Amino acid sequence: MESRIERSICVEPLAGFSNAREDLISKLPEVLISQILSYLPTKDIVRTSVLSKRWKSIWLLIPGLHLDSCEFPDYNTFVDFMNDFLFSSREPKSCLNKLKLSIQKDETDPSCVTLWTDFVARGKLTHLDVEFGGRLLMRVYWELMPLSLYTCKTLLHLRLYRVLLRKFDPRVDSLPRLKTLCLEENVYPNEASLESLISSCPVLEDLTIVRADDNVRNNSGLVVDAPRLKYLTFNNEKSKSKTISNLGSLVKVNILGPFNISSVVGCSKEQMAHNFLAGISTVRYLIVSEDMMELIYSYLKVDSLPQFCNLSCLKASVWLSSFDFLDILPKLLESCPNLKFIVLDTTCIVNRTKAMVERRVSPVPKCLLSSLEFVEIKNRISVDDGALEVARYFVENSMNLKKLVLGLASSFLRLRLANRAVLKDLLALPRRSSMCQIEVFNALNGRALCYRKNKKTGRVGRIF
Amino acid sequence: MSSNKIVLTSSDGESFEVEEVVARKLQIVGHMLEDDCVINEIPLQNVTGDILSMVIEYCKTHVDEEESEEAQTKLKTWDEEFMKKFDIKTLLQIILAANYLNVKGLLDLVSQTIADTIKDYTPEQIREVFGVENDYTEEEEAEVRKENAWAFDEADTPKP
Repeated sequence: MESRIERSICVEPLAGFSNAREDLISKLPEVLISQILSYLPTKDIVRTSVLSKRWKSIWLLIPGLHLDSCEFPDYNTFVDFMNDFLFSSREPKSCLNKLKLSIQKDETDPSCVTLWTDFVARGKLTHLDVEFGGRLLMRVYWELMPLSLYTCKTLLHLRLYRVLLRKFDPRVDSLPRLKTLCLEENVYPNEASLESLISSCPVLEDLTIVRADDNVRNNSGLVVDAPRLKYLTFNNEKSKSKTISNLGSLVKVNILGPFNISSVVGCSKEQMAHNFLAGISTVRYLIVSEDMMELIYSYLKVDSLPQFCNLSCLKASVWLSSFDFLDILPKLLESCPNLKFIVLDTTCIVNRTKAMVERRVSPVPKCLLSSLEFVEIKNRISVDDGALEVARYFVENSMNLKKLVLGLASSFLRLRLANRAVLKDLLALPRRSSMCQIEVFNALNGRALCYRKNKKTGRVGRIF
Repeated sequence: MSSNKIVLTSSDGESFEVEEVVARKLQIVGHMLEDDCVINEIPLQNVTGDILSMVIEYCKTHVDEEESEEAQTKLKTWDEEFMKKFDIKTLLQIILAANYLNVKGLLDLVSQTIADTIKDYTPEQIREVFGVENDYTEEEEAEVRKENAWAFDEADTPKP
């Protein structure tokens, strides 16, 4: 059939939009039509049923669907639609493998999501995403996930947002193919049930845990045991301790928002922090929040960090008023011997002190002498000049630095003449790396504030 | 990476010499090469030369898909400009070709582009644009609309 269509098309020259009277779209194979439909909003998808008899049930063969209760005039219509749709998804011809449910409901609406999830978890889904949307949707309307979800053999990707999870008997391999697990602001009966869920996915590669403010119970610790894990994201992870075991294949770790590690029985806070950092020390990309930096800071006061030998890119948010970043920077860099990129997002920096001059004579970390090529320092609100001090440290000490990007608040230069002088100073500074370029941006709109080529060419761009 | 050249021939006899890495983006070719590595000329029965040249243009651009954000944004812009060149009729030919030649990225891109054309059209407008003949009787059509009345609510009322 396809070849016939091809021939009929190619006998005439490519025609314009208005001349395309021949019904070519209906002649596409069903699988291609449903593939096109999967890019449309649900309403538009359903409306194609009225085009012609051929189109009546093509949309039911759709491979993936995002159903949002808000797209329906009322919740009951949504429920009726879901029941019909799920019923037809059991037809042998159905290709449904990706489903996303976004639920908005109120007290009079029926609870069907547990049942629907149970129904699809017994099918052949590869991707499932269930979310109870909106900040305003009260917890009493969230629904429980069925036990069948924990033993779905076909699932590759699972995201749960604001659902209630239940206790279940952990069995290894109960989710044998699951690669991506994203758990956001759900309610767990206890930490053990979250741990069992993670460890029942033997091939898990990508794990995201986002906590709601109050859903860490009993202040207990969290153990993550996933031997194939490559990507790990914690957001708002406030459980008392975190134990990372078995994570030799980690590529990227992302720690966002508040983060907590404290002592547990028989183990000091420092020991717990050491264990956690050692657990993620094989990582290549590391993104850390202010809280995590604070933790690293207090840790560095008593001990040196484990070596992050694979770490190539470090992105850190730093709240410098609470501690002196320059004090720990060399120690931090010392534990990352192969670092290539570093991005620092700083908020408010302490003034320069004479002590910094002394600090600069401390031994230069290995990565500055070899691997470090790119430094970016962003400073959005500060009127202080600490970011410039950090920049100065990199410019003076990095042997192979190719580029240093400085993002400053526009008020930084406007408000204080002294800052201009410091910046001019920085640009005129002898650079240890002859390749080093320095670019200065307005951190708010990304426009260049000034730009200067390397010292070999001696070309000077616009300054201020 | 091998710089071996492969000749792809279309149904109307047009030949294209491309690098092996580009040809491998056409999975149908990739599979043939795996089965027998000495092939250097491949006839592609179900695609004409004008369409094949466009598929090849896409594959050349996407030959090394870098992960960096910058490279991704650049590719995305190229994709958008590339799609603007075609009318609906050509898009339908490209989607058939992308399916036959098994070029996943292009298949997704064209599907998205056609979907964007359909989006927000009433069923009447879709019929008009694509030349879909309505073979429902009035009663049958009313029945279909009734089944999912919510989807037809604020839009069009059926015209005689």
